[in-house]
Amino acid sequence: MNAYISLRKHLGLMVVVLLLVSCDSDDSGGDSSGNFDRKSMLTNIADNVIVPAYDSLSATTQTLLAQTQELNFGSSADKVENLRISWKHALKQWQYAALYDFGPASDQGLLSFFNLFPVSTTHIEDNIASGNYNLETAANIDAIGLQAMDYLLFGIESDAADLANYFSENPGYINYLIENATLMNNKATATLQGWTSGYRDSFVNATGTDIGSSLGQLVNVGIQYFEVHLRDAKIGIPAGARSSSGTPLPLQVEAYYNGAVSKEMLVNGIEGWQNMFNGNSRTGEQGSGLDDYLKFLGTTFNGNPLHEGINERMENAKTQTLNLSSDLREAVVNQQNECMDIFSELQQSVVLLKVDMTSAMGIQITYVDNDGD
Amino acid sequence: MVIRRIIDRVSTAVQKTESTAPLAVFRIVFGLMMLSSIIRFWAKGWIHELYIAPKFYFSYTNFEWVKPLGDPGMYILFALCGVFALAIALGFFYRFATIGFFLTFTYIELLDKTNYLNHYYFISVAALFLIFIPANRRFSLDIKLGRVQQAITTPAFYRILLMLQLGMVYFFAGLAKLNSDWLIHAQPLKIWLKAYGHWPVVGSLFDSNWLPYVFSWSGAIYDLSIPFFLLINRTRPFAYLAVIGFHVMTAILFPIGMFPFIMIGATLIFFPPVFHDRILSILGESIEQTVSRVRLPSKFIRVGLGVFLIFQILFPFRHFLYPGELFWHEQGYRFSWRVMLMEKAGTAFYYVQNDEMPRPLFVDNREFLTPLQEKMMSTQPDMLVEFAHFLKTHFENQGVENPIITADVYVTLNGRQSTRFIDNTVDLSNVEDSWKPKRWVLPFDDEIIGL
Repeated sequence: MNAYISLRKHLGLMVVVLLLVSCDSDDSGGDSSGNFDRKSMLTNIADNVIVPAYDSLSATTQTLLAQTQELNFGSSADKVENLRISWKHALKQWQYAALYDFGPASDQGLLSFFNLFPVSTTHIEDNIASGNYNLETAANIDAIGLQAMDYLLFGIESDAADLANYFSENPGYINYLIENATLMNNKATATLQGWTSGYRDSFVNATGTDIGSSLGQLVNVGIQYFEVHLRDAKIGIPAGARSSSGTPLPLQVEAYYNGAVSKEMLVNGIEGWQNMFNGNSRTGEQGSGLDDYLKFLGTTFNGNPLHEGINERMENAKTQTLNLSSDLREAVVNQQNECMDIFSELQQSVVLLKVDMTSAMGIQITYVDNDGD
Repeated sequence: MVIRRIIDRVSTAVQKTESTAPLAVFRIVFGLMMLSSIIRFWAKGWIHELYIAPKFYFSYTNFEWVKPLGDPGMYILFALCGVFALAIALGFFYRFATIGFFLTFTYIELLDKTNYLNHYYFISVAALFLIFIPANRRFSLDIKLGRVQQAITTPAFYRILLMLQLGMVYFFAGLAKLNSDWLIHAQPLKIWLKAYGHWPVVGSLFDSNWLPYVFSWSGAIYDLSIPFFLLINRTRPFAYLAVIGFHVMTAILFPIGMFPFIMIGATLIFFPPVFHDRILSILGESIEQTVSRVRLPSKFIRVGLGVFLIFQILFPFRHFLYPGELFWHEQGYRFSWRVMLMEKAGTAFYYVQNDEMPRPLFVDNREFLTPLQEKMMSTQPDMLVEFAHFLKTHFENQGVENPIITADVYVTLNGRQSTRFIDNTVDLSNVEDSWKPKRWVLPFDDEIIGL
């Protein structure tokens, strides 16, 4: 009895006792022995995923710039063909670099300069006709980037020789291509430089989980990119998910004028996201990523590890996309239901990313004070 | 008989004469804290972010008339609120300032449920009390200006009122922690503390599975016991050290802004009057020979305050009137001092459909809501309904006739996997948000035992 009373008096001791009891019944699947090195995860993502993505991007924009300048010395079918190939390559590199819209990329406004669609062809034509434009201004946001090139390279003449002739007769188009390529190249190069000269170091050292931390940014910005630029822009909006008429809007498809790459770009876009999530390099080397962090936390979904569930959803979406019988420009019209299924698959991925993953990691979504005690 | 005796004892206690200094110190601390809160809020750009930028605001039932005042209206409102706070601290036109502060502050808090915080509720309640507490009878500009007479003594009533209120905040916060998630699973702290695994030296502690238990249990014990330890003379100094330690810790670990410091300042009221007299004399107060003394408020006000206190004791228990798990449906969650209790997140996909549309339209929430609003809405049923009503009006204006608004909502609570939150076949635009149980919230498919 005395012992009992003295135990009651010693709250601290009581805590320890109860603690031991509770620890016994600990049922979380977390790996209690280890501890996760977020810094090495961030280092891997920075050095093997993000910086290489910007490296490839700025290399391709350099090529685009050189090839558009080449047109000034006389355009030819060959040059146009080469430019078209480089354009596709650049668009592909973009899919792997687009989602890191923070730090240098957001300083440079990369997302708005590179690949917003649909573009306004009248705006592009008006600019070229007047010859008086500054592509860096916000007013030109619908007349620039890889999607403006899509129109200029595929929307005017389909035959390369015809287009080469057209350019020769209308050198304003060549100037516009050069200006546009210069803009993209400057932005990509500046972003790469931002990363290699300082930002990379602060990125790998911001190891918290608050909103200013690197993980906080990867998750918050990454999910926003996934929702807005992957799910909505690439498939949802063109398939008519957001319009009250319910009818498909093929003009909203990425690379509409090319009409043959949008399927591939959607798949690449999802893969680009997975590379960040899994910490994988483009050559497939596996490194530490968000998946490993989830593994460490022991988060499950329907009895399986959450990271497997996330990858499975994304693989499903990729397979469904590849199974479409035509490029998205036709598919949103002819296979609207299948396209809506891809949208739903991505929607379900959002649930896992935005709800389960974010919550398991305790990531904050806002700077504003939360309730405290 | 027993009740009679209790009433007698209470009435003796509250009439006991003591120094007016604690009230003045509380007034000064409160005013300065509020002023700095408002300056901080302003400096962080939150006035624009929370009260000017949003296109839609989540109103409280019966307070739909509380509307944001735009730019520069909101800035003027905050400026007024700050001026009132300063006037409270200075004891300058004190009664007018307390009324002004209470009204402006409460108006701001009623603008949007998104920004509900228990500590804002506490501030509104404390401001309401201050209206009836003559805390300007010591060390105030009102005395200097001859607006009121200095008064050295007061019935203990006012100080007891403040101590009761503060004690209640802690005690209810402690009661709310007596549940299986908090005590047996150490959730949500198990999730939150992992955020600090990268700290040098102590990082590995935060990655451990036992530290959350220490924090959970000591947090609950602290909240439940601290009001009593603060009341007892012998334990008070240690208890106050615990107050400082506890709140500084929470300030470091969690993004909870000014609240820890407000509590550290406010709990000074538990110290005996002589302590506050010393503070005032250090501040350079001069005491004049005076016969004036503070009186009890009128019986009408005393009864009013008593009823309000009883209301506050009962109101947090209203959730027992609702079937299901409180943490899940959140009916009866607000205004109950449930602080830092859950890691809850969700996402809501809204659909608009009518007879003419070939397929439902998928609403883009971002078009209307800020990320914070979207996050808060996704886990709180009454907000889900409010947004559906907004969408109905919006799409009717767009020419969609008789729109049906449904939502697919997925929510995770304290580390459980996400599950569907509400019946996705219910037309939310037809649901009225009321005190009645929200049957369309799907049952929680786990159990949390406790209060």
